[in-house]
Amino acid sequence: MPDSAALAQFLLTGLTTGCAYALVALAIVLMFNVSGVVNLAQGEYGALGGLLLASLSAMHLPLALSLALVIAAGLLLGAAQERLTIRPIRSAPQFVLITVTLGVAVAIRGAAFLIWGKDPLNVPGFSGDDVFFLWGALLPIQTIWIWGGTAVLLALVFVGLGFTRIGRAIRACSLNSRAARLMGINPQRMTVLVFAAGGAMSTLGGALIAPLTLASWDSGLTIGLKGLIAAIFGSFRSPGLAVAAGLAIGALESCIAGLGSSEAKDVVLYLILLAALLVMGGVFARGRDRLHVGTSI
Amino acid sequence: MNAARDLPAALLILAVLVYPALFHSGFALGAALMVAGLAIGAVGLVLLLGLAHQLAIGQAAFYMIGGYGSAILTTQYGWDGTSAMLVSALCASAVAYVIGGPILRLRGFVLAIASLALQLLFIALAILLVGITGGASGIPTVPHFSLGPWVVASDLSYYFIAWFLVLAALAIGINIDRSRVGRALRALAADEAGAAASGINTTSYKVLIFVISAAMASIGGSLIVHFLRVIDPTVFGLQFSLDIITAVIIGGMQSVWGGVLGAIVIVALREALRLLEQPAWEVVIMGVLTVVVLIGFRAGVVGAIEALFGAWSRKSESAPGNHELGPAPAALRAPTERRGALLQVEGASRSFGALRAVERVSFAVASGEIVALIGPNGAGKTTLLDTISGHRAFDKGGAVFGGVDITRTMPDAIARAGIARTFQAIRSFDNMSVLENVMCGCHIFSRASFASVSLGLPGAAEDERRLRAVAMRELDFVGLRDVADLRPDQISFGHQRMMELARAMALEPELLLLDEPASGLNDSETEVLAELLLRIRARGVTILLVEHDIRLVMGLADKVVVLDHGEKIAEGTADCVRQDPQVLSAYLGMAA
Repeated sequence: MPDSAALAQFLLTGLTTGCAYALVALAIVLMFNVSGVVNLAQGEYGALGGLLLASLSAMHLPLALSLALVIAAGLLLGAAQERLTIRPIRSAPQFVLITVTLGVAVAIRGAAFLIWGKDPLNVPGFSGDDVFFLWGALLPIQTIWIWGGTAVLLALVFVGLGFTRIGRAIRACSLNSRAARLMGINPQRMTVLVFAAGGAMSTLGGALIAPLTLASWDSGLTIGLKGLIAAIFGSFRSPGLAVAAGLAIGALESCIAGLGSSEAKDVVLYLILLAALLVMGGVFARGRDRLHVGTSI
Repeated sequence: MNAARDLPAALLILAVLVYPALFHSGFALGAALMVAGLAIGAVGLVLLLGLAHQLAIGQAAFYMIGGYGSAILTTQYGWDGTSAMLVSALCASAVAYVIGGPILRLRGFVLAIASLALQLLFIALAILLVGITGGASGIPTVPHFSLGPWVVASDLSYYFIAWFLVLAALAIGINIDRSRVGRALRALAADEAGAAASGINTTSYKVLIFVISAAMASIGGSLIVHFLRVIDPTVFGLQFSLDIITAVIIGGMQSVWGGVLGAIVIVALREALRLLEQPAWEVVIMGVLTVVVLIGFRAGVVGAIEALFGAWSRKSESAPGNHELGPAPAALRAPTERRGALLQVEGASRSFGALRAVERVSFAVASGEIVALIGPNGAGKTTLLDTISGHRAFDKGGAVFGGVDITRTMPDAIARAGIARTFQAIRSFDNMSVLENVMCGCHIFSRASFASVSLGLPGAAEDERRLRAVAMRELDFVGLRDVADLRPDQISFGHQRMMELARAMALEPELLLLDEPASGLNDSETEVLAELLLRIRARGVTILLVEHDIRLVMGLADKVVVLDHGEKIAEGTADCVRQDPQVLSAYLGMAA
């Protein structure tokens, strides 16, 4: 049995990577609720954030400016994805909309490979590479940045959704976009807004954890996968549950790696995730209303 | 023989035969072998993605099963290549079955995520199980492929074997596409509720096609590994999975040919970029092409070729333009002797949150009657119909049909038991012709086994002729023979309603549930409908209809059941109900 310091080490380390999954999951849930599209490319934004920061810090730009550029890139790319690949085929069947996001993921991966090459890049910690102790766990200073940054982002999103006019409009669109339109809300504008915000959240999340994980062109699919599974745990409805599930997946991953051999880590992790999907499949499939016979009574 | 249908196959066979004579370098043969390996899995994915609209990202997981299965069985157990390939494909099918069962009940993208997780699991396992898989360095000593004792040592012989397998996969794919299975897959892709109402078990068809696509992918994996002669965890990595999907989309996912053409495009692109010394561009070009095809031209390369040559379309393959109406086929459903109530609804209740849509409603429908379910908007009529047809679950109470409790029966099983239905908002399958839509309705009378369908045996063709005859009989019955070859979105709204009715009648139901069949029809169309309903009853079919058009109801119905706010407020003959003070109050707001 590991001692409490070791356990704290695993959990706290896991919560750190979990932050990136949580931000991706949150973006996926918000986008799905407003636009009905499951964005399979969302993980690529995380990978891109890390890679961008690697290049910017190699150019010795001030950190604040680099982060601002990373956020701007996420905003622009998210908006571009919506305008260029979602809006033109708004009326296409659901599965085409989802498949297009996979195409976008491949394009972003390919562009990342073309620009940054196949070797993972090193990103320096925001405040150097010092470490600190918490409950007996030894953590890099960057952890503070990650937790703080994630907390600020989550607070912004939840306060924004709960208490601002735009937040209300977004919630209205996710409940019933036709009714929202009748109330004078433009769902298309909300969709592009959510894609832009989601893009920025994910690139920033990727940039925050890059100093600990290295930045690599092909990390997007696995980040995206964990974000998507977290979103499923929140039934694609609850942003709060999705964030919690993202953090939990990070913690689970790190505990498995710490308690077992590191080679077994992926096997156990993906076994658990797959089993969870199968169980959820069995549980959710009981009812027959999944066939959705229209809404009229 | 049909020239338009057989020409592409003849051209492909010719190309396969001529290619090695034109390009005999090892490099050219190698590229063709990689195309073959990719194409087999891509054909399987067309069936899954293009026909059934189920997105699986991690198809390379099944290539891994084939690749590692063949490598392990041939190197460590001394099996011959053919047996190893077949056993691996069986394993892949089994895995797909176990995973697919629970996952494919869920809608849409969950399969995408689960299949990706499956592939990552397999990659991790391949690295972990060093004793079996050789770990990260893999198995470097895979022998040549062998057919029993014959070792296929020359690349040229192996090339022909590989392309023979591609042609076989293509033939199976085409047979499936043109059969009741292909129709069932397209039906569930277009509208799951509509497919279930025709007696199609949507989950089991999705699982079936997932299993087939897994077996094809596994065979592709075995093929590639015997060509490369090594396997390690990077051979069938995430990029390979993306290769297959992009191949299918760029090639054109609506046709099985798209899998083969897409594989050619992907490998040609890779080799061209390598010659230009710009290999890093490959992935980004694939991604952009995928997006462009999906947005601008969903039929892909196949569609482009069709547009150029016109003749190579699925429509010309499947439906001969002239539908002679032969002698009317005999009824396919065995007749049953009924006494008393055909349908008995007891205490049916259903709420949505706090809204009680249907509350303790009981009534009976006698065999041969026309019963109308009427009531103001929001009275719960459609919900009641949905619970009877199995599309929604009862909260309390239930229904008995012909003496059998159908309270918890799934909609497709209820359809097979003899209850057909139409929907308030038409649920047509827009990816098929009107005739094929109606053929989906008699899907349940198909007797050809899946094996005979996929191998194109004579029994399957006979089956198709039979179903086509029944479907034409029903189209003739509703007066739509002339539009049989059009698509539902090309005919008028009134005709679409008639088509849905023909589809329901093709099930040869004992009980027909109609949800506002007259809504959206003009006066003359409504008259035609009324006359049609009488003819349906004359065929011995009992009808339960929800309707707003009071005139239609009063003229037709033997019995009227009135709902208001989810509760039954009156039941009786039309005249009787018309006098009922509660009914008047519900409809006209008069004080009771």
